[in-house]
Amino acid sequence: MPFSHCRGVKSLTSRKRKRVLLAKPMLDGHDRGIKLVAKGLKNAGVEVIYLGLLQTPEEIVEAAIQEDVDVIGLGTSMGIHKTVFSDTIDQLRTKDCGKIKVIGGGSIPQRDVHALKEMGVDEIFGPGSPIGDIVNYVLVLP
Amino acid sequence: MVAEKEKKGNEKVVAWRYREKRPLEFNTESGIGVKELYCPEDMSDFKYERDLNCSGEFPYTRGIHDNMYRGRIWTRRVFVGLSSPFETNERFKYLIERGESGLILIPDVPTQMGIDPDHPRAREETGVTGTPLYAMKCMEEAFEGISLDSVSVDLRGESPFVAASFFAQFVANAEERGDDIAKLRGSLINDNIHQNLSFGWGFTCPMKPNMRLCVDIIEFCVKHVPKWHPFSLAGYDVSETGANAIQEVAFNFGAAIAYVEAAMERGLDYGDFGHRIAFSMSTSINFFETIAKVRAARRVWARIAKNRFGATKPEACQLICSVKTAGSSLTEQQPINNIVRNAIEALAGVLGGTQSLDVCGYDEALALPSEEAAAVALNTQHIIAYETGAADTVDPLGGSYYVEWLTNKIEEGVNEYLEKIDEMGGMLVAEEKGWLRKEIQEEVIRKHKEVEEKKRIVVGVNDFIIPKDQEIPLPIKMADKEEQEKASKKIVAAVRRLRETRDHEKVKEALKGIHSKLEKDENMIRPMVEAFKVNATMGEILGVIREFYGYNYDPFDVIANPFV
Repeated sequence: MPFSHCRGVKSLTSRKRKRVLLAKPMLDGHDRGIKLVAKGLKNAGVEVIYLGLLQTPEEIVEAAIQEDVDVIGLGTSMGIHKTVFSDTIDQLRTKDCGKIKVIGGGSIPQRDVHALKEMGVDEIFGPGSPIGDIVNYVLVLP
Repeated sequence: MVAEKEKKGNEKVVAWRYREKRPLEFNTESGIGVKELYCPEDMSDFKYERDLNCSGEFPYTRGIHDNMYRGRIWTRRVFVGLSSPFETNERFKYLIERGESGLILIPDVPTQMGIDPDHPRAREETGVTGTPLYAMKCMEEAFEGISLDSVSVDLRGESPFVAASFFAQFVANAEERGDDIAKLRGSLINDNIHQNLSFGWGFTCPMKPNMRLCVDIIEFCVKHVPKWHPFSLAGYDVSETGANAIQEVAFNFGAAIAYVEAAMERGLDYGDFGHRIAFSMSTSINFFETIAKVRAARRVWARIAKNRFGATKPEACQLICSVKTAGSSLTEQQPINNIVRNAIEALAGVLGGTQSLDVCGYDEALALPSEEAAAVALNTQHIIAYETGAADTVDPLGGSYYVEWLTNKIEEGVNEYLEKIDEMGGMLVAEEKGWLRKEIQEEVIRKHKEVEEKKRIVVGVNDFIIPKDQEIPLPIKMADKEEQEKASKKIVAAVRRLRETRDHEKVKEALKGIHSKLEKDENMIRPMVEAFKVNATMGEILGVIREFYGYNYDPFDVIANPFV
């Protein structure tokens, strides 16, 4: 059953379905949130590739390129978000794939959001963010 | 629920008008329908001696000790897992000075996976959310200057694989210090099923060696460390993963049954170790359900011990319970409210009759507890113990129509689950099939939906929201990237130094000793203790065990066994 907040979002029929790659980088095992995000996106018609746990930034970016995704979504709750995102973005730039959007969630405090965005992260959805916000973010991307 | 600011005209704010729309139906967090009023009829089938009995009497619903907290206040703990053993030691001492009676040591993630800090996949996360514990010297530094027979120590080892390594480190250090290990008190999370379920790290610690080491620890403790709780079930972790109250208790017991049966197969007598099993549980913000859960758990376990394991000694039927307030109930929004949540959850644990209590830091939604947050968490317990009167009489809620009804409901639910698990062929099968995970996932979705649809209000998250800049500022010590990197580099350098300066031949000999015990199918704890004493590292010791069982030396298969 789709989440109530996913109803009424923009229809997808007019354009290509969005593809999102989700992953838990490094050794972090807290996957309660990311699985909910995956389900919310899927219910809204987004194609979701969930890589699972223990992914390195190299593996994530490689998979994102192979799968030709629009967005990479990383969940991190271990306090190493700055390392994780800067490594991922570096990898994307090296591979000349800067057009892929990078979003993040997990235990990321508000005070770090600015620094992460400066680094090139497109959006951060901190603790308690409604899944509908993430779905809408993905759906309205050009 | 709508709290609305109404304006008359443009200029004056009139008042907060509270337009409550109360729901038509009420449920506990695990979905048990709650009636408006509970009356004697709700306990019509109730027999005091059978269902409750006095505290200290079978089935121990009201508590395992006859005088409960009048004899001794619960063990008061606050978890510590700072980036180095040295800092952890300082925090331990800080907390002991403030009245802490039990220590909790949380290892960092690489340690929990059984890899050393200089492993290529460990470096970024070394010392980030726990203490790196890769060699005996880590324990030496962490417990330096602390009298080990005066405090009980909870080592959160998670899987038996890693737990055995911690425990061996701890024992090795105690022996080197000249402590009598028979006097060591504490507990060990030693539960692979739950670790697998909660973190998905099953690949690092294969099931077969895990079950063996789990029983090895029990056997070793029965013989040499009789005051230790050799296996503590990690129900708390499953609850944090999303399991509801009923699932938490049922999965805890399902796993305990699997381990107990494995130990009995080895020839151990349940009567010799049954009284040393401990159950870690979460105290959720759903106050009465938590109280009922802890009470019901004691009753169900007493009956399992008696009927299933044939326990005759009273102690072997008593469920020893350690609870921690629910980290998942804490919010990043308005963190000061977390102090209130923690206090309510802690009180629920006490009213449920726990033996040990760990209160979260108010900052735990975002960071490892700061010194200030840890002190508040400890004081929360002192306030409950000495100011509220909740510890002055045994099971103060016993006999409440609602609480007894809810206790019965949870017991029913737990028994239904246990039957299902038995039908499936036990907990190991249920886990392998992915059934447990599926059950929990459904619960996660249900709970999340309730919050998103505002059927369950979380203050500051889906209602009573205020702008970030109006929040009451609290000191939260966030991990700093540069500091972290510095700390982790220091640890990596230390482990390298250890490898260079130790007696290589002795390490080689000790690892051979482990291998030969594996071949002879003997207890592994003593040779692990000896290996730690000559400065072998956890990664090396576990690597040898992995190889013996036909797995790669390194779970990530990036480093090879340097001793071949």
